[in-house]
Amino acid sequence: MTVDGVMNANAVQWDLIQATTDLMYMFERRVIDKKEEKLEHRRRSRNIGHS
Amino acid sequence: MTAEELVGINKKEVLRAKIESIRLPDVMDKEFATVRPDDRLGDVLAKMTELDLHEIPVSQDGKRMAGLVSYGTVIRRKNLSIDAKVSTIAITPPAVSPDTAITEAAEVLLREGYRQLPIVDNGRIEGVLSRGHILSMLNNIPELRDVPVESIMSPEVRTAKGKDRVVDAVTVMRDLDIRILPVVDDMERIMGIVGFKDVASYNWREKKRQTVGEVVGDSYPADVLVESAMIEDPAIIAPGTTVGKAAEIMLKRNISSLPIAEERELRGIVTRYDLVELVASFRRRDMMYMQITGLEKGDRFEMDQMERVITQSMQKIARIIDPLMFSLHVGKYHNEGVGLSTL
Repeated sequence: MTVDGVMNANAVQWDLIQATTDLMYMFERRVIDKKEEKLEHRRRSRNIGHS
Repeated sequence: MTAEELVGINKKEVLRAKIESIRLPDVMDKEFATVRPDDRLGDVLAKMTELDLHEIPVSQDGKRMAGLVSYGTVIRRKNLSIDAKVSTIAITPPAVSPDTAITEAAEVLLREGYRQLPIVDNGRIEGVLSRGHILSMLNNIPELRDVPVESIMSPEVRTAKGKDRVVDAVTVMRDLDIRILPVVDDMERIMGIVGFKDVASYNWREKKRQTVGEVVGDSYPADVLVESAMIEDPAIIAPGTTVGKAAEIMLKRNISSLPIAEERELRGIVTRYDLVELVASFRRRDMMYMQITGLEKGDRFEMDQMERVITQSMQKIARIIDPLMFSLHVGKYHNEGVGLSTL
C-alpha cells in the first residue's frame, strides 16, 4: 500500500477468471492484514500505557 | 488521496456543504452549441473538432433536449456512415439538472467519461457543464485551492524514451487509456511529452497507390521516433504547486495533464480527471468506480464474470475500508496466458 492509500497487485494465470479471483483474494488478505496490524498496534499502545 | 485524508472526516462535512453551495448555474456555460437530429454525422464531427468538443447536445430548436452525441459512442460504433443522421446515434445522457449538487455532477462527468454534460430542466437545456468549469471553481474554495498537487498526483507514471517509436507510444496510451506520455532521458529527467492527439496522424501512412504492373497497397505504421514528435519544453510543475495553480495552468494552456518534476526529475502527473475527482470525492457515496482495460472484443463474457468476482470481493472489503476506485489492466503474455495488474 502506498502513502496515498493506493493498493497495487498483479496476478498471472492461464485462466482470466482464476487470475481475477487470485487477485481479489490478495486484496482481501491485505486489507484484513492491515486492519489486524492496526488493532495490534492499538492493543500494544494500550498495554504500554498500563505498564 | 480521499477527501477524508485531505481534510479529516469532521471537516469533510463542512467542506462538502461549502462546495455544494456553489450551484451549477453559477459555473456552467449558458450559451452552447447544439446539433439537430437530422444533421449528418460527418458535419457534426467536423463541428465538434472545430469547437474542440467531445460531446454535443442534440436539439431541434436549440432548447428542447433530444439527446447527446458523444465521441466515445461514435468511436465504439463500427461501420457508421458519415451520412448517418444524428438521431440514429444520439444517446440519452444521465439526468443532471440545475439543482444537482456540483459534487454529483463531477462524479457523473467521470463515471460517464464525458468532458461536458448538458444541464437539463424539464426537458429544456439550461446550459453545459464541462470539466473545465469544475476546475475553474476550485479557486473559490481555499481549502481545495491550497492543496499541494503531490497529495493527489499519480506517482507511478508510465513514460516513453526519445528513441522509442511513436507507434509503440500510441499503443501504450491506447492500452492504458491515457492521453499523454512524459518523455524522459536515461536519468529519468523529463525531456518533453508526447500526446495521443498530436501523434495519432503519425500512426498510419496513406496506402501506397497502385502503380502500373505492380500492386502495392498495404498500410503500415510509420517509423517515427518519439523525440521527433514530442512537445519539447512542456508545462511542468513542482510537487508543492497548489491545486488552484495547476487548474489555472491547465485552463490557460488548454491542456489536460501536467507532469510534476523536481529539478526536471519526474515525480508524478496530475490530470484534469484528478482535479475533478477531488471535487467528486466530497460527494456522499455508496459506490465505487470500476475500470477494466486491456480486454479484447471477444472477452465480453469473461468481463461479466470478472465484474461479478470483483463486486463480491469488494463488498467484503467495503466492510473494512471505503474503496473509492478499482482499476484493472489485463495484459496477455505469449498470446495464451493472461496477467492482471491493478492500481
